[in-house]
Amino acid sequence: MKLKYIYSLILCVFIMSCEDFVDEPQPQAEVGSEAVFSSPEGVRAFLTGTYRALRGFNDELANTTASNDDSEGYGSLMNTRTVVGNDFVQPAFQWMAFEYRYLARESSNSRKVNFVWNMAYEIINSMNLLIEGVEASGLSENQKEEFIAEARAIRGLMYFEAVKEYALPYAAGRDNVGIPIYLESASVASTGNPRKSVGEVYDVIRADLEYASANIPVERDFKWRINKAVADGILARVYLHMGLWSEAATAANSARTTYGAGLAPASYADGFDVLESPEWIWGLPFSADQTLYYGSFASFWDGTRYTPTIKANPTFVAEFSETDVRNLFTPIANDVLYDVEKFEANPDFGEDVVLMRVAEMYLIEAEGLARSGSEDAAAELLFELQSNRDPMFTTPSGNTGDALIEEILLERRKELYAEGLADFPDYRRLQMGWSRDASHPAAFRFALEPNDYRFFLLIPQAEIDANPAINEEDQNPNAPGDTWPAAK
Amino acid sequence: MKRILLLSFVFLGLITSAWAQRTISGKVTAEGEGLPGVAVRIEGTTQGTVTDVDGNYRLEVPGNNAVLSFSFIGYAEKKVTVGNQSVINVTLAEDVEQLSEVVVVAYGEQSQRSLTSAVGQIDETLIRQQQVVDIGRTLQGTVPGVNIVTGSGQPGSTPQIRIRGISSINSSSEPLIVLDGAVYTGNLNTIDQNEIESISVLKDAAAAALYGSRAASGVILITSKKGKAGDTRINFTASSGFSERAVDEYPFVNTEQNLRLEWEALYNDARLTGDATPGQTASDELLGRIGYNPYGGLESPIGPNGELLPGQTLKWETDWEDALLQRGTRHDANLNVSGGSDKVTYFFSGSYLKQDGVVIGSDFERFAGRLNLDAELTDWLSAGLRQSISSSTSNFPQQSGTSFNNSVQYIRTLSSIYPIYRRDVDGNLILDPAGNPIFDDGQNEGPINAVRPVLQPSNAVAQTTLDRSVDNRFFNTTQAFLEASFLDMFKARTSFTLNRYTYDNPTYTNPTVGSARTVGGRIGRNRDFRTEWTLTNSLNWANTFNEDHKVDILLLQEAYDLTINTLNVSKTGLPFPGLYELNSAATLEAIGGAENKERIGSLMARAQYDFRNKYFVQGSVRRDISSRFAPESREGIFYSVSGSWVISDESFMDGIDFISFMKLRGSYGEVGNSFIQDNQLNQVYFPAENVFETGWDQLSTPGIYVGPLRNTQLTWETSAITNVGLDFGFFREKLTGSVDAYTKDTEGLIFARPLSNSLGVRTNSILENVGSLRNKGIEVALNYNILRDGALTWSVGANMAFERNEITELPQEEIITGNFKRVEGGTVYDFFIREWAGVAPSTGEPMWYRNVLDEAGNVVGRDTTTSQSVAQSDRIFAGTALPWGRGGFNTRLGFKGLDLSALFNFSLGGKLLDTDYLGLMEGGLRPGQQKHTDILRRWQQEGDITDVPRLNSTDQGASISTRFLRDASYGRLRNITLGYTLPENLISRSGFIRGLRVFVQGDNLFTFFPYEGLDPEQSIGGLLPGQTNNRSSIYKTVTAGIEINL
Repeated sequence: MKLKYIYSLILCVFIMSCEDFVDEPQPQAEVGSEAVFSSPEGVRAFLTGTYRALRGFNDELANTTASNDDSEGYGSLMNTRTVVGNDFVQPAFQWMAFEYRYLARESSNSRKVNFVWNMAYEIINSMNLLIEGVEASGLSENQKEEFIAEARAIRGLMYFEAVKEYALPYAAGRDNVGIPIYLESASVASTGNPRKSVGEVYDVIRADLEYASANIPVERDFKWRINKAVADGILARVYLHMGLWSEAATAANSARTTYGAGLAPASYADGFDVLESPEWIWGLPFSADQTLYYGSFASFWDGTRYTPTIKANPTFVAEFSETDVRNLFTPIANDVLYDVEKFEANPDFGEDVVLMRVAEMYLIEAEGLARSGSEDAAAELLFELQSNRDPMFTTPSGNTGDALIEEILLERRKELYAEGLADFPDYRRLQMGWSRDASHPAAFRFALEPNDYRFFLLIPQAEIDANPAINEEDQNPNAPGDTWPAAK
Repeated sequence: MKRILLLSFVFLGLITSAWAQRTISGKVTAEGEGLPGVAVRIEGTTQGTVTDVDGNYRLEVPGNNAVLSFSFIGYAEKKVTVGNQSVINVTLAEDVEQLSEVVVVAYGEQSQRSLTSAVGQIDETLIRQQQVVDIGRTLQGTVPGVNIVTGSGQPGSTPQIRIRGISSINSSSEPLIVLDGAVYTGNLNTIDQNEIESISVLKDAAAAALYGSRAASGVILITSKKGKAGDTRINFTASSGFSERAVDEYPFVNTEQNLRLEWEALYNDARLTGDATPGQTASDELLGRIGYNPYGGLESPIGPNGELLPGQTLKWETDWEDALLQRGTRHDANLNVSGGSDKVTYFFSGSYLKQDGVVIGSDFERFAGRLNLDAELTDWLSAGLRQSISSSTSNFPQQSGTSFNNSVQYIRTLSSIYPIYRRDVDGNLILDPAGNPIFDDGQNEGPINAVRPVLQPSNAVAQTTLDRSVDNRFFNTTQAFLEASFLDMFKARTSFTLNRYTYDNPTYTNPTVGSARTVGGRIGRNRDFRTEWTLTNSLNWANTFNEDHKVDILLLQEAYDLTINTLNVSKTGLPFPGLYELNSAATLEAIGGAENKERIGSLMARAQYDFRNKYFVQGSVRRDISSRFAPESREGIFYSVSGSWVISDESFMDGIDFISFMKLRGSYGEVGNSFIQDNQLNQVYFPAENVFETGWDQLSTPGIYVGPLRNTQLTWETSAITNVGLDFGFFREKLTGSVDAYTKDTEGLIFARPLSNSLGVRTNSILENVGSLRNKGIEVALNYNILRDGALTWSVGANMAFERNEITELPQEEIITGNFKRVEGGTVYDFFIREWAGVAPSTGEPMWYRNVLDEAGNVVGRDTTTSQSVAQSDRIFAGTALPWGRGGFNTRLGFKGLDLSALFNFSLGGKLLDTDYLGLMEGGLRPGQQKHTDILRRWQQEGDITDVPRLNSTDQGASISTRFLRDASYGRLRNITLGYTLPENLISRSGFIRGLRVFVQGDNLFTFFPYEGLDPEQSIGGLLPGQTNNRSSIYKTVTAGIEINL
């Protein structure tokens, strides 16, 4: 009989304290924010993670577990801006075909429309969080300044990339509708902000980058970090876009002189795949175990992995002399188009991606000088680049006025091709009309008016659906004759 | 000497007993007819027999003191002392007490009669009748209110199970699975259907609230078989059969038609840009557009008039369906042995199953074994063991989604224009040095037949045959329990269950064709260890006062622990193809691992009271503390009350003869749901903590990155369920059935409240307890034994459930996610898409409806869009994806040894967005793509009246709109079985065979659905609810088998 009571006793022993039992499980691969902002190493790791997010951004809302090669990482923005112009042709229906055919911008649900928006704003929110965390931390003032400078450089860059795609260029008017502005991190209580004017957005961009330029260190531990040279380079792009010509020239000059190394023409044919390349001011690193696979930037250009389908337009190739180091085009058998050899893809998917080069700073500086009355200095700088790229280019063109500007813009196309900086982006920035020539299939021979609605992406439908401050009437124009909404 | 004496006594004893042994015979009847199958047993021994078809029996008894017991389900047991009789005829009386069998409920069993809650149960017969791999499918069409959707033809793929509608949006709507009393979170396909005695579905709160915080989506109790005291019974079943997809593929155009359609798209492109000779331009551009010429050569096979040029002969015409799908076989065999003595009973089962899938290379193979032991150790202490092991291996080629490797997508994307093997300029096969054809992955050098504009680089035939992705699952469950009875009314029980589920997924991507070509092949390994244990201690007190009052109180304490440990590795660089282990690869590409943990501590009490076996009342309360939530919001109390009243026992019912049984039930209670998921439907184990994620490294520099925004107040969602039910039996239980009506109000709905994308929060949403949802419905189940007493028996069953899902509260006026818009008063899955307005007869352009606004911005009318851009149109509510009704029929016919049974299920209402069909109707948008034959109806010239727009490279006619929305009502013949049991006199000659049955059966033989190519079973949840996703169809199977009882 006693056994029965022993059994009851065992039962009691088993009853343990529920609270202790349930308290034990904790997240294993994550850390709390106290740990992040309590040391410089923590903040540095957060910045490092942000660069990683930038280089591999993959829209988590794509509603599928599969990644999409046309929308992965900051690098895919370059190809997006390349295939929409005239210098490159995408006859086959492959990745980027929706962009090439202007279908991606025509639907507010398209992957690309969401990708650019979501990438920019996710990074912006992360940087707001970082800035708030650093400000509230016990780090030294000096450290705080450096971290905030780097964070604001990234934030300013993201606003700049987004506003270019979703709003009219700055030169079309400060009061045009821009994009929402957030300078505080999102919390549980946050709701969406309305579309502010282009002018207000550029005020934020300028303030961020000017602060960064003034406070960020010159030195850096890795070439993928933003330092003073990179911040000035971004600022030069911003000024150029805004038509602040002499400021653009000054910033571009500062960027390349702070960086130090000059033009190295031999490196142009090296395949654009190594971060250490002397002409690279800034880039993003990849390795076999940290790669975007087929979504990698160079997958679109080099046949190592799959046959690239973006081809060079023969009318563009004709602009290059035989001896130009940048003439990296091979004619395709039985076709009028050319393969592009500029970018090399590694079999293991580990090639680095370029984001900013010395030559671009030459060109920004030249354009800034030319447009602010220093045509001689501009022509001299332009010739320095031209003769560097082509040993047979021994006589400056002697162009002045509009002809000089046109020569600089052509040089931008020749120097920066497929880097998402010239061609279409220049036409957009400068409010130019242009059209695709006969090298393109009939159905895609688009002709764009200045500020044509097709220069811009639609606001994502998901934003309109979720943001109480942005409604259907705040959508960008989507047909000839549609008008732009007003800023709020 | 002593020994000899002893032996003599034994000998003597044997003789004496042999002499005393004599034969008793007789007939068992009920209602005047012989009753077959009645167990006749000699009390205190294991000897016994069963009555034959006419109710006769014959049995050897040891002596006059022997007591015979006669028992049969549904009848009161009768005991007779033999005395000096040699013929004992017995009449059995129906036992209303024992009505139907016992029902497995939470933490115990109850008789059907005393049940106060809504529980649906299917028994062994219905389970074994169906040829399934995943036992979840046996519930389809058999239990009202349970919705089963299997969206894949991969054998063993887990169906989506919904009990009484969709009760959550961002928490799982899958029911809690409880195996032999302990929560089971592994894959259901590891459980062998032959081992299962019954499956109970707990639908209302009174039944489910005992599982507290995890029971809001209902509970499925799976109970394994136990041995019964008596002779050892050996049962062997084996069957073999064939299977193929249950629904045929969409009809596709042939190569010539496709090329002419491609030409026409180019012709329209040129014509629309003002080309003077569009026909010539189209011919010139054709091969550049599609990249291949199945007629050989570099000249367009289609002339400027759009016709095939004379003298063209096809060099190839690929049937990708034939190349990628297969007709498979199914084999299974099961041996089980059960029996026992008064003190120990056992059940042993061992089985093997092999089933091929629809896609080439896909299969499922499982070995499973179980041993269940129950022992009475002393008169007050008993113990038991439930032990099961199963090991399965499944080759699982991709068959849904957008991966290039998805064979189904391949068939629906790649047209017959493209060859499986490489072709030269003239269209002839290119051979490798060994003389074998070379797989074409669509990325080659050459002027033609080199670069494919579709799914490049890939070759699904190559990848499906060369690549491997194997799901190895190993599942072990061990449960041991000890039960003590004391002071006559107390029972204390402790039970410990340990489940270990191992998922091992080796993958191999070949180095010659496809995505791993440039890295020299890839070998990967994913491994998950899922360990869960449940410790349950309970104390039960049951007593009867004054004969009329029965009280039963259960106190229970439970601890649950789940640990999921994952590890994944991939390496690249193989010296040569065909090596499958990590050691063979040179370069480490990725490595990662994680661990998640969940713990729940619970206390529960349940009280039952029964007055005169006529009035029943039950109440329960459970307190759960879950590690998923922050300490301040992790405690939840869940309770239920219920009662039932057996009306037919009231004296005022005496005169109403046709009603043999009638019971009214009612219940109310609250249950919770803590299975919170992210937007990829992964479980979130710490959904209330704001954290930074590690692993965001830049090469070797460690990095962290901000995780999703969390609300620390988050807690479980609570569902309040009211249920009223009526159980009835008419005409002496000839017609039985039940009707249930319920409402289920889910509050504090865990909702991924969308945040403006521009807020930059990862996943663009935040999980919060906001909003409310109501599911209400009526469920009816009927069973009619049309003929039950004669040689011919026939019964029919039907069940039907009507459901309505309604959002009753939202945090904001409307929430649009993807193709659905949620508003108060709407359902969870209301389509909100553009409305198709047909084709403009003058231009052939696609049209959609759009709103016409007045000056103030109010909608004053509708007109059609004027450009081919879909974005001009406005979205409308286009119906819900949820069916309003579903159910099933089953019938069973028996004549002598023959049995015939059938099971049919159906679903009524609900819309399905057929995006697979959309892809086949894209027309000129994607060059070389597979096309549906419907495209032959396209608009061609001014004045054509058709619903298929013109072909060109830019029109968006195939955008998501009501054009691709289908009514998803369907019916399916789930099972039909014909069996023959050999007559007893034939088999009794063999001496040891008790029974032998042969059978043939067909599963999913017919699907009644008007849309060719579309399988109506797609998805009712998951990432893409209510729409297709290039999924493989489930299979139909025809099998033949034999069942032997020893």
